[in-house]
Amino acid sequence: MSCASVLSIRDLQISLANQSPSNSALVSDVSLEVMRGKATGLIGASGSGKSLTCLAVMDLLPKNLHCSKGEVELIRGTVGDKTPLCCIRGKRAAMIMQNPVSCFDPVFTVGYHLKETLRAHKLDVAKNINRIRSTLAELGFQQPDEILAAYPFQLSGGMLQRIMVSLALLLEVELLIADEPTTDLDVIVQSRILGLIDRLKKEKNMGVLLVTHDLSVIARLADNVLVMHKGRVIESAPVAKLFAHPREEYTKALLSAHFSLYGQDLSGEVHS
Amino acid sequence: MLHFIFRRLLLLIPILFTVSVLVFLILRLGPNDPALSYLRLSQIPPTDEALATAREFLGLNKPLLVQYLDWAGRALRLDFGLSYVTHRPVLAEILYYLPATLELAGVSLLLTLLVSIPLGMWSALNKDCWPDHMTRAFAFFGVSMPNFWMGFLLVTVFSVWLHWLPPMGRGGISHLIMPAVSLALMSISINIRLIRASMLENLHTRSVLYARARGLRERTVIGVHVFKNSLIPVITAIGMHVGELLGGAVVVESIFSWPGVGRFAVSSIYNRDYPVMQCFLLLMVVIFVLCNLLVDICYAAIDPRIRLAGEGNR
Ligand SMILES: Nc1ncnc2c1ncn2[C@@H]1O[C@H](COP(=O)(O)OP(=O)(O)OP(=O)(O)O)[C@@H](O)[C@H]1O
Ligand SMILES: [Mg+2]
Repeated sequence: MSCASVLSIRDLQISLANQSPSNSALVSDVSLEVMRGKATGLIGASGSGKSLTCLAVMDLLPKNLHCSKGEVELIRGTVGDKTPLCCIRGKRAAMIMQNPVSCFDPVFTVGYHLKETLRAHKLDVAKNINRIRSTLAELGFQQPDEILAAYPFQLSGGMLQRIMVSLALLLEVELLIADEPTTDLDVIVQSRILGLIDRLKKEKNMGVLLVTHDLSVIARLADNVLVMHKGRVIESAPVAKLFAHPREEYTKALLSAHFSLYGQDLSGEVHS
Repeated sequence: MLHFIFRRLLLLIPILFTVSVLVFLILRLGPNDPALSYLRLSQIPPTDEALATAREFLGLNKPLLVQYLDWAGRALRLDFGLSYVTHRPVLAEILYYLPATLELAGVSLLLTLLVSIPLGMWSALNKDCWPDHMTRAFAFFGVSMPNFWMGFLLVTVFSVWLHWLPPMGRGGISHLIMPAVSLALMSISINIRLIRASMLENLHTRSVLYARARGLRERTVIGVHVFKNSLIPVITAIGMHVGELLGGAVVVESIFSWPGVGRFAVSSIYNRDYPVMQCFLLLMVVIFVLCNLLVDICYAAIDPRIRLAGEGNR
């Protein structure tokens, strides 16, 4: 059971919708697997196609792009099939997006966002109100009710990022797609959130697709790592192996840049 | 919220003061002599003697400032003087005609909203398909068509040829249709373009992307989030449309012999009936400003960014 796959991508190619795939591919030949209870890390330079890969999983690519090749199998159903995606999105696979400030509707309160999402997935808001409060408290919000009544533009990026995490927790998703989930957080909250994701991964058997620039986040959470470069996966290995013996030049450069910044050996940090 | 409304009401005072000065000056600084108009309308031969008496009687030989203060002081007590033509109180005269105009403008505004919002949304949701092409062609046609020409066409087709609708006068719904349509056409067309543009913009924001990622149904994403955000520019535009409709009413009322205040104002302009013109202009400005106040209140009600701006962020 624990090694069943929640997400498997095979030979994914994303290209501009109105041009031939061969010369407009932004992402090509990406294959990856996320297992229940495991985290797959995705690292790579800015613009290497990490976010596009995440969006393709949810079938949320922008209109001018499309999946020109390959397939995405999400929780035993292929994306693009007749499977009603709105039953999977949010309920079974949640996403934490980049730039949280722009992701909320400014004319509705944070509480409205949470409640409408619960309602969309047939969860009774009145019955769950205490769970909402306790989840927010768990994420470090001392006054949950104030947060619920606030409008998105009154909160910081880090706070909104935690609201996104709270939705994933509330809906008890099977797959969490986290696109740079900790960029806007201070280290204390960051470590708390990572601890929480780690716990869910183990206790609730949740699979995680973790996109980040931060190698220490990878070291803490991920089981497998894929390195993306210019739209392709150039290296993929278990995390300990990747840190100890990077194969590709680009990966080596990435690692040594990190070491020169933080001056520590990451392989010591990798969990067993 | 109450604080916000109160602040806006306070702002009315300087606005009305400025407008009253402008209305007074523009009419007084024109090339015509009110005393001469007064004599002509009273059918008294304009001898020098009669002119002097009329000036004395109308207070025209006092300094301009004193004249303004006199007029404004009485206007504050809602006394706008007597019409040169009918010699009856101006305000009572105007208030007699006002309901017909408000009815016409109100129905046109309602028509504008009821037609333009669904059409604009339909157009945006079917971008570059036939509904979009059709709506855009319609909007283009509507913007280019002057309301008096539209009025003539409607009368020709529906009254002269088909005998379906009465060509003039005020009565039941059937009398209202053609004036309201010719009056609203311009606002409808402008609004369609506006709603289409703001819908298209709001359809591609990241908050819509995240709303879909949260698993909201397409109906909710568009009907709640895109819709409410797209309404914000429309509300601003409504304030402008009120001015457009009131101004357009002057023309449309003349075409359809609609017994409104616009037609009355036009005849008072021909007659240079100064007290009527002053009162009419001031009244229109008050209506316009009050409608815009209402618009601002709606605006604040729908957009928390505006509402909370005055109270400071927490
Ligand atoms: N709608 C689009 N149309 C055309 N090109 C796009 C579109 N969206 C993204 N791209 C391109 O695709 C590439 C990959 O973008 P993506 O957002 O996946 O990068 P990323 O790896 O997430 O980068 P970052 O680490 O900065 O988030 C970029 O070069 C970008 O310019
Ligand atoms: Mg990205």
